[in-house]
Amino acid sequence: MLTHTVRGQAIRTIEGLEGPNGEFHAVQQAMIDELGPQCGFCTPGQVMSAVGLLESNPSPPREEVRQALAGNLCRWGAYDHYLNSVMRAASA
Amino acid sequence: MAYTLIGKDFTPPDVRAKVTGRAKYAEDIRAEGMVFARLLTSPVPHGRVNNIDASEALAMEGVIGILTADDEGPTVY
Repeated sequence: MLTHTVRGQAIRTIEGLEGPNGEFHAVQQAMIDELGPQCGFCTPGQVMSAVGLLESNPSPPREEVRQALAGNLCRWGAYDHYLNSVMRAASA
Repeated sequence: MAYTLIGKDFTPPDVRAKVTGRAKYAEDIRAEGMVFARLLTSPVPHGRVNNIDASEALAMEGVIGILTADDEGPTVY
């Protein structure tokens, strides 16, 4: 997705995900509980992709989550950890 | 022997920073007076350096110097 294609849209980033009192989003908490991140460099993107998915489908099957996160590349291959985290968030 | 962490459930201290985007990486670090280095690598494999002429580079604005293998520096392990 190119930046100019979302010109004029409201854009939400990782910094804006927590609640007003610093409460973690369910995806963030699940990633903590499941130890999703390794180095954490891809984590913000994984989180936002997951948030987008769960807002459109709160109870996705694992394969749908896998596809939703397919654009988030992880140098350390923590893909299954992120997948487990999102499945955990979806069932929370 | 009782282990402090092995076999125990704990949250690594950096995980919260990672899921909130607050974690800082080496690339994010900036300090007052900091300088940046670039590595100039050989355009040929298995070559021999006969001479380095850095005069053009040294004349460029913002270039404070070059380092070569001949320079005294920190101990390299």
